[in-house]
Amino acid sequence: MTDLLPAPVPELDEGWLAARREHLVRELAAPAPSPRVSRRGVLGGVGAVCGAGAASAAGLILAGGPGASSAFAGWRAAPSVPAAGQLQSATARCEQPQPKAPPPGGVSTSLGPKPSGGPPAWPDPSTWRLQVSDVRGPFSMLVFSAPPDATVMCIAGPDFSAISLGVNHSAAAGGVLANGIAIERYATARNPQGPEPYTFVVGRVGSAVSAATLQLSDGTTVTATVSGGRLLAWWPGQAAATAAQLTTPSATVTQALSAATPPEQPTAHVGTATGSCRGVQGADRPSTCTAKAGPFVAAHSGAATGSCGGVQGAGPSTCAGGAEGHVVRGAPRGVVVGGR
Amino acid sequence: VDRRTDLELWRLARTDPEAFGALFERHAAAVHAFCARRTADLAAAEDLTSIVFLEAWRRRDAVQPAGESVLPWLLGIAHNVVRNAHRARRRHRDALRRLPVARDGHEAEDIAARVDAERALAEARRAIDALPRRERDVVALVLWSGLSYEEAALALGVPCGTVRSRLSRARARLRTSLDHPLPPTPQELS
Repeated sequence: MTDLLPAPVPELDEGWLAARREHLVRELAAPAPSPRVSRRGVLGGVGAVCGAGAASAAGLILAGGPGASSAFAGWRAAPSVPAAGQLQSATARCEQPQPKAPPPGGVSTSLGPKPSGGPPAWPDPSTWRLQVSDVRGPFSMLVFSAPPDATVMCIAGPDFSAISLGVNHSAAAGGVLANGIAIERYATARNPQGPEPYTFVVGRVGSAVSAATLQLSDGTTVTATVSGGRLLAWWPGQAAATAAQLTTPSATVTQALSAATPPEQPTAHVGTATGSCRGVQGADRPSTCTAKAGPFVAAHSGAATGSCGGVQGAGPSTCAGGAEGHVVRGAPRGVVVGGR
Repeated sequence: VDRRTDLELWRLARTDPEAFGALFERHAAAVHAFCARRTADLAAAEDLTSIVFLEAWRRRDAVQPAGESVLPWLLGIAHNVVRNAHRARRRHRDALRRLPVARDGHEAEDIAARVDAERALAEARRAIDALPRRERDVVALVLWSGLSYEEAALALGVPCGTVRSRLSRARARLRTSLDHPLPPTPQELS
């Protein structure tokens, strides 16, 4: 029987090291080939924001252009100081009138049917109030509140911009521990026109938290913007946020995040592919959607305001609508303090 | 010897491949040892080592290394690369094709040593194969690669307490199934 001391590994000889180092440097110095657009990305349709916890969100419009596959070049893992005029420019782009119709090849960007059947309009930008902004190199992500109960999130970069709208079904998430955070939105968005997927987290921080660093499932870390009681961070790709290291006056604490994988929505809707639905759109009886969005469970009900349908064939049902419903069970419960 | 710290090199490496090359020279042996112990295949481990650094470069803009060393982060990538070796090889196949040609041949003694080493590696790997995957990962990082609990937590993207509990479970499991207990961790030794 063997013991479990590490088995010896022959040392790498200097010739090998030198040759491999030279190869590596040569590879890295060469111009990178254009990344292929994954089929999954094409099938993904317009990326969407998933409402989580107290907020349900729907409608994300991304505008990409040729060459947008390198859309995240210059992104930084820590917030950076905005260039002169960067935030003003991003705000202007975010406040541009949004089309009601989806872009060619896109999908519906409506928020879900109103009782009257028509899609709700985007809030008037003149009523928006900036809650928090996050700058990472050339990218600006802005979160606005829009009366009466909407949240507008917008990201603007050199090659693309995206805007989403969420409707709060209940009061802002309460019960944030002084030395903790509560995640309100956590999702992966993607755009069929080029940019790779990206994942974002929007949340609230306790009064004692002055800084937050997210640990991702790929071993990397991302420093969040913490300002005005809000937390905001995003990163290229689909890595999940597994924990947050929080700086407080007394110590640095680690808060585990129970979400394994950020939810990804193939179309504009509320909830994720793990939801279940009862009732049928238009039926006399109320429809109920229970959507599990990452660490959160949110449920909505409302007469004929929800819709249920499978996604991409045999996949689980998703929940759509809900913007006009109300939360019947949906307090954020995704943040788990302690071990997994 | 390059006296710059990992973090200094890392900052430079975002735009300077030569600085990244210095990080390679500094950490290639540890990454190679990790890959070798996980695969029990020295030749495969050599290729995987190159892939780990290519992957690290690919993700360089998405990373802000915590701590003083980038090794935990590199081993976190190595952990994923070993688990998804086929996909990693496919992603970097063009670069792998351009790898320097292997040495013309090994001396007979060298070949014999490699065979012996691979046999020992395979034996060690079999010993922890009975563990659940997550416990195995912690054993490989903490006991075999010498990472601290905190560094292993960073590499695996899990809380520190999770590393501790997984290692504890691995110890308990192996204590009942092996003649020899697990060796102490570097932290325990200190």
